[in-house]
Amino acid sequence: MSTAITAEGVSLGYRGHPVIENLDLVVPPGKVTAIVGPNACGKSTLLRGLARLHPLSAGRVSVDGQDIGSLSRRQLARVLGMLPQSSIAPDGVRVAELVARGRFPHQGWFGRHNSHDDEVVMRSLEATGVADLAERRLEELSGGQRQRVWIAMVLAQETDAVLLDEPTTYLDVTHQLELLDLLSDLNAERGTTVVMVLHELNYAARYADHMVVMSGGKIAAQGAPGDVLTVESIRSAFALEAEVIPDPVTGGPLVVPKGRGRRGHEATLS
Amino acid sequence: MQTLGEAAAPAQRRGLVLLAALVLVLAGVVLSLALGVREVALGESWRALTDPVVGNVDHAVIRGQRVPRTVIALLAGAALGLAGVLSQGITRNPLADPGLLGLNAGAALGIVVAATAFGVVTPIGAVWFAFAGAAIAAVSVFAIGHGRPIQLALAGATLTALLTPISNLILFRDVDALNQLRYWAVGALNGRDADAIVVLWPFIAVGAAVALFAAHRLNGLALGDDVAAALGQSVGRTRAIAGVAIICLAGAATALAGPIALVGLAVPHAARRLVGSDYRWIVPLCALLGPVMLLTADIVGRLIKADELEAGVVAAILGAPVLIAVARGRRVAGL
Repeated sequence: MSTAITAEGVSLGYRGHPVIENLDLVVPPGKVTAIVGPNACGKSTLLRGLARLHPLSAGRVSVDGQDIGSLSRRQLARVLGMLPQSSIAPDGVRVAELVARGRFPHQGWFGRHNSHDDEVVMRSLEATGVADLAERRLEELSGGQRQRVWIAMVLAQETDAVLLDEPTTYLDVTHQLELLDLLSDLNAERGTTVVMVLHELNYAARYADHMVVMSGGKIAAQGAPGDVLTVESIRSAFALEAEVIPDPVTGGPLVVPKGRGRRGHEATLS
Repeated sequence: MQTLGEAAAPAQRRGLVLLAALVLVLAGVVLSLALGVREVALGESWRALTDPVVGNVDHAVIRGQRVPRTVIALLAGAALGLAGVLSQGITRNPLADPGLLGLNAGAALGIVVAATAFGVVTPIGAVWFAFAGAAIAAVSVFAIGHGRPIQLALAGATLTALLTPISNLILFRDVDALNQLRYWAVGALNGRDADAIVVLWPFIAVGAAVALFAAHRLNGLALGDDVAAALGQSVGRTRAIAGVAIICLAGAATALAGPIALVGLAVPHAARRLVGSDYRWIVPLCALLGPVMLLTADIVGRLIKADELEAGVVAAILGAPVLIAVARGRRVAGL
């Protein structure tokens, strides 16, 4: 079973400053969706709105047809996992302990763990390849390992859809690819609907089934990466002159930016 | 599954730490009843509790003085330890304690106002004013701070900076108020009105129950507001629940024993050192280590012969090294 996420007429903003107005989005169930766009285009705000971390000023978001506004936070957390950009780990916390906190929405008042919780935690650690680190302290791990642990925590929530806000930030190129491979595997093996905000266009093109390009709080283009990433769409959304050539590894689109010096005069969008 | 077997070891160790803390509390209670300026044999102390003889001075000292101050040390110690860990948990600020949230300044002003405006000069009368002052200060801080960590700390510091000079201004003009506050402010456990225990213990009991309930939620909050919300927590509700508990606990403790510093600050750090970062273990341990610290402070103060040293003063002297040890440790308490 795959989870569909839909936004209808959604507006989001900060203190009266609208960031997104009247946006519609259908996230294809069981697929990997990447949201890309220039800084301040509203992509993170949109993701936060989908996860109800940011209040909607208009419209509705539904998960499997159910309005998320009608669910309790706990109910929502059982169907939708979200890894925000800012996460803090308390000093000295151990990997297994942190992942176990992902069980929160399934637990009662006092947070007692049962053997099912233990099983899910173990499975999540194994799925993200950090099972052998279970008893290590989080601060002893490398950035890449740490990010895997956070993803294990979201997996422990046992949701059929996972939202991730720039999961590859601060990782080196090897670990970025490793992490995206991991998410891609989870999607393939479990049918988990994955929605992620990414900065790197070429990774988005390589790993996403569905790509959403945002610009100025609106969806500028969406669809298969090959259809969406064109010279024109990149120019209008990012104000960037680029060549799009076939990726020698995958055959998909590969964006090769030309850089500031050759930017055309028409690229005056902010 | 092997990894989870290994995880059982820390759980066992944490259980032992909790047990050891409980033993220390009991030892502290026994010593608190047995030791003092007046030398009373241990057997006689026990008889004072089980089979008191009217007119026996030893028995009168035990029942009239040592029992109340021991009970106050237990209640106020547990309350301050719990209020401290909740304050740090909801603000994610390792420097937070009820004092930082403005409760002490509020309580002090309450006592000053009681003496000046209402002529209340008995300790039992002042208790309600202290409690009300602490509660009003805390509610204001929560209202101003909107429940956001840094804003809470700023609001608390601002309120303290505002209220303290007001208290001082009144004190300089009113000698009754000065006497009343002086007595309250040093944090002495002796000579406190035993009646205050009777009216204040329910607040501490309720606060402690709420604290234990909130522990699990603090674990989520420790990962940041966004992660906590994504895990299904209503972050504002968690802060409100913990805020009510802090007001009950710190309000009652401060009214009971004065503005005892460092217990609320040092105990949570010590607890974290002993059982790690899981609030489901830290919170109950704080409820035990608080009394251990305050009982120890009170006993040590009593043993400095001739002139007793107030528990609040000794607690500060004992608490400082704990905090210094924490600060010098490899893991400075980033929350």
